[in-house]
Amino acid sequence: MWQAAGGGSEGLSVVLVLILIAALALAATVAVRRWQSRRALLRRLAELTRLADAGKALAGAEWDSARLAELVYQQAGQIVDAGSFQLGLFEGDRYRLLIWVVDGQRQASAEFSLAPDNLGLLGWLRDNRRNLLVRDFQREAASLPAQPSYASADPPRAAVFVPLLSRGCALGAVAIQSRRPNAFDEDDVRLLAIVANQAASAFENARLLEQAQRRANQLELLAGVSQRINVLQPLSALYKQIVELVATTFGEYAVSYYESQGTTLVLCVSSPVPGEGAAPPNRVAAGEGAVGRAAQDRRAVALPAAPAPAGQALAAAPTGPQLAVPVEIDDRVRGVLLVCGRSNTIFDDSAQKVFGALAAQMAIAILEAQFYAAEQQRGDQLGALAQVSRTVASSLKLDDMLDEVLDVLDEHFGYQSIRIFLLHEDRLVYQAGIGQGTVGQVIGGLSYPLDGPGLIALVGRSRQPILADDVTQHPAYVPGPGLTATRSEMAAPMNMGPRLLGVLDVQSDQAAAFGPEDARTLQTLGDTLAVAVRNARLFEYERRRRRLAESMRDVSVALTSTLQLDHVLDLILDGLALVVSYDASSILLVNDADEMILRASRGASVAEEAIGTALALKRYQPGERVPAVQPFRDVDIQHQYHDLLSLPEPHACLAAALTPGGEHLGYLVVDKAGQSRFPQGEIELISTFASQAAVAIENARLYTAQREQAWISTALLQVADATARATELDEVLDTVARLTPLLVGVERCVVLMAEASGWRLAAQATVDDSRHLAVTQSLVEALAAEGWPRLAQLRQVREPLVLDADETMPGGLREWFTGVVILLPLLARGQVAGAMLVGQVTGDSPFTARRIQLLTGIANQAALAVEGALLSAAQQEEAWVSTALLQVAQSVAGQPLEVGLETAARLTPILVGIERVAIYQYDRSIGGFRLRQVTGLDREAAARLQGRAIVLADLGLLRDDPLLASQPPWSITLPAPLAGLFGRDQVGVWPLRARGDTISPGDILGALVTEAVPQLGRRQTILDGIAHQLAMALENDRLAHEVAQQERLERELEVGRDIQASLLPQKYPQAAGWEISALWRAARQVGGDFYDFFELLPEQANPRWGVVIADVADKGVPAALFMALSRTLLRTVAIGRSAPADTLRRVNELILSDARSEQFVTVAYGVLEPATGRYCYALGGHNPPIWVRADGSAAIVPGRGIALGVVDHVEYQEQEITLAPGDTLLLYTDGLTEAIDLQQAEFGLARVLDVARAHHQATAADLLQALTEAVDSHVGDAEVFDDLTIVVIKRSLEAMV
Amino acid sequence: MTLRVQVVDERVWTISAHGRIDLPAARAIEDAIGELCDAGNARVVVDLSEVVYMASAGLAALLTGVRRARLLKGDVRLAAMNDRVREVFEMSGFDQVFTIYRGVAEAVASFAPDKGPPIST
Repeated sequence: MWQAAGGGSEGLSVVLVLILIAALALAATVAVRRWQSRRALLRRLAELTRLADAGKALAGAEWDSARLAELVYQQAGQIVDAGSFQLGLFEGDRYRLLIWVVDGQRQASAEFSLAPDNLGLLGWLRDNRRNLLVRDFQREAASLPAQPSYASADPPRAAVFVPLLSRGCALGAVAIQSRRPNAFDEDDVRLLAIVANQAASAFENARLLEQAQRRANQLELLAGVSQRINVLQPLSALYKQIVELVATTFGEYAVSYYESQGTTLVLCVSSPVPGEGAAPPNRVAAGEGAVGRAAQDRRAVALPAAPAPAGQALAAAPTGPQLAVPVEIDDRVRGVLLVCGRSNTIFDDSAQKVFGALAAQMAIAILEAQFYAAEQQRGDQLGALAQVSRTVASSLKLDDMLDEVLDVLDEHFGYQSIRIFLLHEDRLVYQAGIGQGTVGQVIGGLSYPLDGPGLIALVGRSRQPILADDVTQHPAYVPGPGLTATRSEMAAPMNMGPRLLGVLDVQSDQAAAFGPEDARTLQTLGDTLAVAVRNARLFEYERRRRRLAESMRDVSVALTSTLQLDHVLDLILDGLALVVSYDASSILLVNDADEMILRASRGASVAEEAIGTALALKRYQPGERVPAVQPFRDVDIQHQYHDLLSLPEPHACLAAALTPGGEHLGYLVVDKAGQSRFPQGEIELISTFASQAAVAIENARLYTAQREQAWISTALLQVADATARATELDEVLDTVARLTPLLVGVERCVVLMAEASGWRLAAQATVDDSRHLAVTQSLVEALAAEGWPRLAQLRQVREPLVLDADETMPGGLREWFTGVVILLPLLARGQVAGAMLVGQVTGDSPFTARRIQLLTGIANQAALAVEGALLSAAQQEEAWVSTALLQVAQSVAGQPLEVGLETAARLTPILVGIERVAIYQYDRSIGGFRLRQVTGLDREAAARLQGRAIVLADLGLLRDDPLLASQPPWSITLPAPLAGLFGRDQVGVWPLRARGDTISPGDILGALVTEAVPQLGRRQTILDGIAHQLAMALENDRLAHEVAQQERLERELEVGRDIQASLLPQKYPQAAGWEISALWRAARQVGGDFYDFFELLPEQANPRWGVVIADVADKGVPAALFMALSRTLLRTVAIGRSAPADTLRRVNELILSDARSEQFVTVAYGVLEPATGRYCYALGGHNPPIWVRADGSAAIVPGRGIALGVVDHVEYQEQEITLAPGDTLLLYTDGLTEAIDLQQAEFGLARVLDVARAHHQATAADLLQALTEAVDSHVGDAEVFDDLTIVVIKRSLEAMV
Repeated sequence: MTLRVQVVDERVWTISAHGRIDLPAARAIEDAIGELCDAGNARVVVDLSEVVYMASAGLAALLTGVRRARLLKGDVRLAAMNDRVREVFEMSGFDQVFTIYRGVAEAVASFAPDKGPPIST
């Protein structure tokens, strides 16, 4: 190809050149392009690298907004012109600058509000999330999407705004600005956007982290607050605590708590508002402000800080941001927690959650505090109730009791007004009160008719408590006097079973002051008071009846001793005054001219002048039924009496007919002012009194009219006198039964007592004692079942019945009463309490009307005495039981025994209502019971009883008597001598035992002896209790003595040991070739060991030693003294005798000759001749000595004998051995062989022998030591009980040499 | 120490002791015999079958008891002692003071007048 072109033409060359040039140009262009693109590439690469670095830096940055912003600023500075730079975050409606650089100068960070009406460029950016390039502000002012909200004095000309976008949300913005127009182009926007995008997620993370951290912090703080919320306090304190805790914990907040009250929220407590915030309002209506809305909507409401519109009407409203969180309990808003922050505080979601949690916590705490408060109040009230119960139990006087109860209520419940109304007839009468409206004139005599208006009457009618939160709204409300301010009231009935006794009323000038709990408490109080009022009334009633009985008895006694009817009448009116309170009373009697004459009167001022006036009163004819009691107006038809006495109206006036024996004699008239009716109880009393008075009057009339029949009054006097002296029911009945036949001149009398369902034969008597009525089973049954129609009839008619001689009678009565029989009622309070049967043996009737009258009088007298006796018994029982045991316990406990027993002996008769009480204590030394205290005997009898200790046999008891195992008290018949001393045949015995479950006679510490076993259970209970107290006192005393005894014993043992030690030989006999070693160890507890050496008279010039080892079987001083005696006797007797058996025989005799001695001693006694080694010995019940030979063998020596001091005339055996050189004689007491270890295994003879054999070559001292060590190691830690004595006598081998 | 004191028939009482008769137990036995004698029951059998040890205090107590009983024309007789206790009685010579029986029944029966003299073992 090349050849073709070169061999061509010149044109070809030009073409070639052109082509070359073109090629060169192309190449150059390509090269330039390449260079250019390479440069762009390089620039782009650098950009990318920087962006990557920025991304890396951002990604690696710690999540902290401030530092992150710093990083973004630095990175941006490397990519774009960041001479004026800003980076800010949107926080709610605010824009907070983290970095603000103007012309390279750092500015203080600032905040801008993005108000909806003035969003500015940044607001636009936030809402549109788009980049914004402003090339020139001046030029583009009109076309900007939003107007800048901020203008400086020297505004920039160009700017780039880029939002920080994360998950489609603008977190903030980055902007660069310049004073130069057109300083930025799209590239800058793109680059800044890349940096912003990279930074955005980091900011998002940082924000989340900060939020999480803040939340964690707050939660932590909240936990701290929760922990410190102490629920056990009153609500107000709780609120205060919560508020203070929140305020101190979350320092920047002010906290308030509003309590929901209906539709209003009331400020309870508030902490100081920080900074510029205004104080929260005191009351907020539902729906109003953050608090009101939170309460209404039941959700947290956050309000931003109110914009500060200077000087506007909202100046009073809090200016800071607010968060209101409802506190809900049981789906009900109880209150609202209001948190006010500083102006820059933002209550975001997390803050709402935190305070939502706090509100929940608060709800729990409030709930618990409410429970606590309720519990506490309940506790207080229960305490008060208990105190009320105690008060009412301790006082039986109605008015005192009510006053005390009111004091307690006032103290504990603090009610403004408490009033107690008691039901009298059909009116609720003000009785007592405390607080408003209970003093002065207004309340005196206040009463409400039961069927009238008012809450109190309503409660009385309905018998249900009423609780009126607002009395003005209650239809039944009537304002009480002095209680016009009352807003709320509650009242509870005082119910006693089906009966209403009164109403308890409490008022307050606050609306809704009482809750259901208060109402319940009030009802409980009402019930308690009802019981108390009933008891107090019963007590009053009983007391009055007692007075009635007493005054009747006085009247009766006085009556029969006076001839003056007027005197009798005075007595009756005086007596009546003791029984019923009246304002006026009179007695009107029919005279011989059949006129009703005013005979006596009390209470009316003109009474004196009116005496003797005849009045036209209704007169009942014989045979006409006379009402016992009736309203006086029914008989005072012409109203003369009231006119005469000028008695004021209104008043109740009662006429009790005086109808002794059915004849209408007159009236007893009783007036009481200020009430319309007499209470039923008083009517009964007056009626009873009148019937008694009638008898008295009739008797007086009889006495006056028929002096020739003086025996009547004598009889009645005797009966009255005799029955007045008798207090026991049976005594009364016996007296009546005995006296009646004598006085009336009949032969036989039987007294029956009415029981619940039948009758009981209570007493009987005959004049001549010839034949008693046989109390047969059929009689008892016939009476018990009221199988005799006549008795039923008697209950009905309550008047004497005459039974003819041919009328049949049950159960052998007819065989006994062969003649006419009078059956008389014993009337007590109008009821038939018993009956008297009086009759003859012969058939003719001695019963004139007069005699029957006398019998009736006796019967009435008897009935009175019966009543008195019954009442007396009942009263004694009731009055003392409750306090008796306490008194005894207090008096016995904590006093020296003698004082305690003395007090118990003195108290017991008072408490139990018996006369004679003796307290015995078991005395071990005499094996019997010694009298410690006796009450109810005269001094001489007591002294004689004192001198006589008793054993079980004295009471006729065997050791294993089944009675001993039975439940006390034991009813024991005393043998004659004791019965004489105690003045009773039959006694009740309470054994005093330390431990209730054992029945061995040895466990009885003493006995409580009473004159009888009371039949009433409660008295027995008291006596059981007293016996228990006494037993404890005796047991304590015994234990105290035992301790003292133990101490005494210890001292004695010490003395004994000292004596014992002093008796031991101080030195041992000396002889060449002999060694002696001895050990004596005294045991703490027992011990009577001793050993002795003494020189006897030499035999054939050879010295001889008496060797003694002995054991006295006792301890302490007696043992020591006996030991001294034995030792002295042995020495004295042995000195002149060579034969040991003879010595022991003689010593035994000498010991036994002392008849006092109870002791004995075991002895091993031998005579040792050192020269020969001869050992001659006799054993008196002692362990035989051990002979250890030089060859190593060992054995006990033979022989035995009885201990000294046991039996008389004993001959002892005598044995002899010879100790060769190297031999050892080992003497010991049972303290060695019988030494025990912890397992109670004895050391034993075998071990002793083993040790002896093993040490047969040892010196006496070494053998002794070996033995001691062996026995000590055996015993170890076990307690040593017995003395230990070992004597080793060795004949040495060396002596031979 | 708990003693079991029981009456066998109307005339003879038994006292049963157990374990070690040391000082407190001896006191209890002495008291028990004393109380029986106080109540006029002077015929006593002490059952030693469960006694493993007898200290000299025990011997003293029995001695006091037997003296008391014999003054009242009664006696304290011992029954069912083990070998160890028997050794004590033999060594001290107290086997010569008391009549000792193998069993309680024999000891009780020995008080019956129609049974022969006590069989001392």
